[in-house]
Parts: sequence; C-alpha cells; structure tokens
Amino acid sequence: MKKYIKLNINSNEYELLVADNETLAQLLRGPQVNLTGTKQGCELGDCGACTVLMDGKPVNSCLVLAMQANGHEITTIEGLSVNGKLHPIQEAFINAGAVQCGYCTPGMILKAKALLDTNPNPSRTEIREAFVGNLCRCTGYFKIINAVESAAQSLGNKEVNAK
Amino acid sequence: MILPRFQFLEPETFEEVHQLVEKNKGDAVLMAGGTDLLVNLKRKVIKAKVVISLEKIKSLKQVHYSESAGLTLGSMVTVSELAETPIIKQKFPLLAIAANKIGSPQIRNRATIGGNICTARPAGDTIGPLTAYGAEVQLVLGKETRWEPISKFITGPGKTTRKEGEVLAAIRIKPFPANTGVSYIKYGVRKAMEIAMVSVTTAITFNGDKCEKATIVLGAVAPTFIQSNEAEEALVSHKVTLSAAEKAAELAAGGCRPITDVRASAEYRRDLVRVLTKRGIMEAAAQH
Repeated sequence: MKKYIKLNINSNEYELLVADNETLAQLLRGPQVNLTGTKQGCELGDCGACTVLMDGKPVNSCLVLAMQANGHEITTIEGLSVNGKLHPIQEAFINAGAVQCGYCTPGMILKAKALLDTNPNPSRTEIREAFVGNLCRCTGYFKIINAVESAAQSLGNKEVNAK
Repeated sequence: MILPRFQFLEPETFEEVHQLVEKNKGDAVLMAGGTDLLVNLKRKVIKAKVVISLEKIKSLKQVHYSESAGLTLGSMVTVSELAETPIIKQKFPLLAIAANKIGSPQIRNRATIGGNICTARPAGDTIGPLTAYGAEVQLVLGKETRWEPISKFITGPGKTTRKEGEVLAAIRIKPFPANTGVSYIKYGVRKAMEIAMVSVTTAITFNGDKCEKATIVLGAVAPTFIQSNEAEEALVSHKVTLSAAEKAAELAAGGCRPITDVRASAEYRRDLVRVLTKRGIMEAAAQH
C-alpha cells in the first residue's frame, strides 16, 4: 500500500507517494524526485556510494526506507552547489584530481561535508577514519584525502575572510 | 538489490506492537535501525510480510544516568550516540570505544544498541562491554515487563529469550569503581566494516598495586560471549605483571571454544585469544 510522505530535499519541500519497500535511494533516483546524483553501488550498506545527509548526518540511503525519511531533511549532491556555483568541497575534489570514474564521488563529497561540518580541521588520520564506509574502487583514496584537506583549508579561509 | 514486498508499520506504543505482532503471527519482524534487517531482507535470509519499526516509540530513545541507578539506555539509542554521549564516554568507556568500532559512520548513525543485542551475533561489538558491565535488559510485551541479565538473554548465535512481540526496551548498566582500567580489543582484517574474528573486553579494578577484581569477556570464540573465570581468578589479589597477564591469557585461551569458519580457523582464534587477552590486561593495567 502506497502512502504520502513529506520530505525536505535540498531545502525544497516535496510530497511524495512511496511504497512500503522503497528505499530512500530508490525514491531519490526515481521519477518523482529524479535526483540521480545519488549512486547505488552494493545496496547493502558496505560501499557508501548512496551516502546522503539526513538531518545533517551521513546515512546509507540504501538502508533507510523512504517512509522512515518522512518529515526529515535530506541533502543530496545536487544540494551543495548554489546558483550553479560549486561548493568548495566539490572544487577541491576537481582541483586535487580526486575524481576518477566518479561513481563514489557524490557519497565521498557528502561524507566530506558531514566531517567538515563537525570537525573543520581534521588530521589525515581523522579523514581516513571518517571515510571507512566509502569505497573507491579506482582506489583513488590518496587524492581524496588531499581534496578533503584542501577543502578544509579553503572553507577555513572563507570563514576568516567573512570575519 | 530490491527489497521484497512487505507492509511497513510504525506503531507508537508497546501495546500497538503487541497487537500488530499478534495479528500477523509468524509473519512480522521488528525493526530497530534496520542496518542489519534490511540487508537480510534484501538477501532473503529473513522473510517477513510485515515490518514493524520501533522508531516512533519515543521512550526508546532516552538516555538516563544517576549515581544510584546507573545508566539506562533506550534500545533505539544509536551506536553514534553511544560513541559520542559525554556521560557514556566518561563512565562507560568500554561501551563508547566498542561502539566506535562498529561498521562505518553511516552505519553507526542508523544502527542501534537494541538491534546489536537482539541480533545476538557471537561477535556483536556492544555485547562484550555490556556483559562486562553486567547489563540487564528490559523486555516489554504489551503491558508486561521483565528484566533479564544479558548473559541469560542471549542463548546462542542469533538466539535470545525474546518472545514474539516482545520489545527490548532498555538496557541498564552500572559503572566500574573509579580505580578500574579497561580495554576493548576487536581483531579483524580491516579496522572498519568488519565482524570481529575475536574480541576481548577487559576490566581490572585495583586495590593498591594488586588486582581486586578482573573481568575478561571473550567474543566470537563460543556460541555466546563468555567470561573467562579461570583467567579472572588467576589475576585477583596479584600484581598485574607481564608474567601474570601471560598466565591468565593461557587460561583464557584454554577455556574458549572457537570454531573454524570463513574468517579464521579455530586454532588461529585460540591463539588470538591468548595474545589479545595478554594485551588487554596490560592495556587495562597501564591505566592504573
């Protein structure tokens, strides 16, 4: 039996008709929302490709039922850029060459955002620990860590400038 | 991987859970965080026509601490919360350390302590520390409530005394005395997204320079978590030296009953118990 749920996705309010066994990842990528930036990899919670932020916290959207997301705020990769201008973390990933095939990138960038929101100056070890649930099968981890480090710096500089 | 069809229900009270389970007898499963259940439903390891989420029962998310009653955790407290809540980090460090070794940050944000207990895996990360703290679990069936020690509640791999429709509602633990050193060692091939090959939970309470009380809990080397009484007794009223730790570790290794499976052989697990118990005792003693 399908039910209507209310969801705030990237600061837009949606009212969506969802099935009991539909996952949040399927809903986001499906025809009603059509935000296909969220990728599905293993669909078992191992790879982190489907990572989105739910109320600011990273979750595997393949292991959250759409109905469980009812009333929550979801941020997907599409929600990071503002008026076509990329988020500093996205810029950092491009500049560091941290994108190879790109399939893990949306999950990686959202995980990076969650990390830098709570820990603006992480050490390399802290970055590596934060990314244990995000697999890159191109094995481009080194540059991903570099990207997160440089994103931390550019976000930090921005705050200094704003002050 | 597509989830099989089921009906998803979100009751708000224990009575409602009870009624829904009665109505769908044999076809319903309870869901806590879903990080394990949804995987098992996708893989068809578990089959259910009705999935009953506990997320809307508000009392299950509470964390309560008082000097007299200790810590009471609602079963829907997430693993992230276990790892980050200041009172847990301060008074129950074993639980916070073990919680941080579960899965990944994404998993920890959804996974719950109640789910980890009811899944009842011999390698479940919160179960070693909870056993060491002498946890009791509260089970609610409609209006009836019972408490049971966790060591009695879990009876085998994936097996508990939980009756159909019963909800694991809360977990109660008391801290160790102040002069206690602790250690939780989880051994696996990866540091994350890993099921322990062996886990060793150690707590040593000191009186002067001697061990007054020792608690050593071994994971993944028997159908349930086991406490190594022989190793504990070997330490009590002695100084915790390297040779005392080695002797206790030999006893722990001798007393465990590991199996051979895809992750490790029984012989290897037994040797891990010896090495990690020694290491755990020395780590705990170093905090004294």
